[in-house]
Amino acid sequence: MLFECFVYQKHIDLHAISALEAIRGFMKVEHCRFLRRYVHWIVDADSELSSDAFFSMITDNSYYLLNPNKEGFKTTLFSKSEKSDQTSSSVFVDVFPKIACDYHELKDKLNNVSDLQIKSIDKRITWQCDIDISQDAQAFVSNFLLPGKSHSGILANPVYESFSFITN
Amino acid sequence: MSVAVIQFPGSNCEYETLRALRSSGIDADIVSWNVNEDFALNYKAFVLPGGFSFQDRVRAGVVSSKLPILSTIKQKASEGVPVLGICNGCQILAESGILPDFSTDTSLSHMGLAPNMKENKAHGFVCDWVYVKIKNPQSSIFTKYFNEEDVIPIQINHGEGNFKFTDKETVSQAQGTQLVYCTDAGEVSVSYPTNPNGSDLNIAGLCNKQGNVLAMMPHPERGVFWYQIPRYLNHADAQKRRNSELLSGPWKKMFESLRDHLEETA
Repeated sequence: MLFECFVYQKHIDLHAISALEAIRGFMKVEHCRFLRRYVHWIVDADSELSSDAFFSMITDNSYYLLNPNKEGFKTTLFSKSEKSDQTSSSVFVDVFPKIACDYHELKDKLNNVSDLQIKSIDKRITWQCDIDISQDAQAFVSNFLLPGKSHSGILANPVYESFSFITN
Repeated sequence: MSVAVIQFPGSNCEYETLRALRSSGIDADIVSWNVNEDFALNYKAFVLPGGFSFQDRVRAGVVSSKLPILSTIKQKASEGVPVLGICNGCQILAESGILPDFSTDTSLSHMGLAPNMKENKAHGFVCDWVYVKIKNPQSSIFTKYFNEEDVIPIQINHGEGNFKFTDKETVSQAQGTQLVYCTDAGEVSVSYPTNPNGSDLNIAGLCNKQGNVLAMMPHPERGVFWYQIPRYLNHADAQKRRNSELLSGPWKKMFESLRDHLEETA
């Protein structure tokens, strides 16, 4: 069974602040209102636990997936309280490496600190992009923030990263 | 013939780069990233030094690559003005698209600098001395005083120095200057630690077709003075250092090459 969680900065998200500054200040793309960056963990394990209970068991016993002093996690991006305000709409983009990355060592460490019988782990970066309601948010992100034919975007490097939109 | 060493928020090699340039007889200044365009246009060459501009946020070099000064440097590079990107400067040049230069060389593939890898595992930050050889050194104004046979020690300091190309075959056949990681005997082995970060084709740096823009991950400014070369290396310069006979580091030639080019074109 696949379990997913999205780790975010509780206090200040420096990656998102600089990305937004580059987008609005340097690239002059002003319809992008807000950004948030999540580390997206995808864990395959034999467990009947709920996603929240599953990740709580990991984060209560180790700092491998997040540091609870400054980071929190949620298991869904589309909870009601996180919906955008009425002037913007949210788009979520998953960015992941094209290069195969082995998390075998991390998997072993997590299995050592829990009884979850984890089979595999994958890590991605998820960007929440809040776009002015006057724009088609997904098309806007595709055209201005992600790599295209005529520009390099900023949220992913097309040479060694791929991306996909997360839909509800 | 002033050279501008661009200081980004988070640069940390600008002063030693400045010293390397000045020791080679080049008049150079540290110039802030937010200087106005007219001021930047006064300079005859640009060096983007190492460091962690904008703390490497999002990806190393990507935020700096969107700065207005990069548009100025891109324009000057297309006019043949020398541009050298070292480490974080190399990442900025790659992210900004100044290298590869499609306006003059459509044969080059896209390139990016991915996180360091070792056998499919993230390898993290690497700080070490390695060896490089230079292919087609005569094609670049920065490397024309080197020979293809030279095996040159140099320091690396990066977490994202893994050159990736969309078309490796094209890059392997390109005639421009390329720096490649090799052993102390000059063998280009793809295995770690000769290739310290998993770079395609063992590439440590490369130049555009015109020869005026060089992007390299290793630090040449840390191999300019005799006292920068470690005694323990298996290299003739280290032997000279052990014998107190070394007068300068092997990378002084790179800055002297730039100096002579600037004098010739003044």
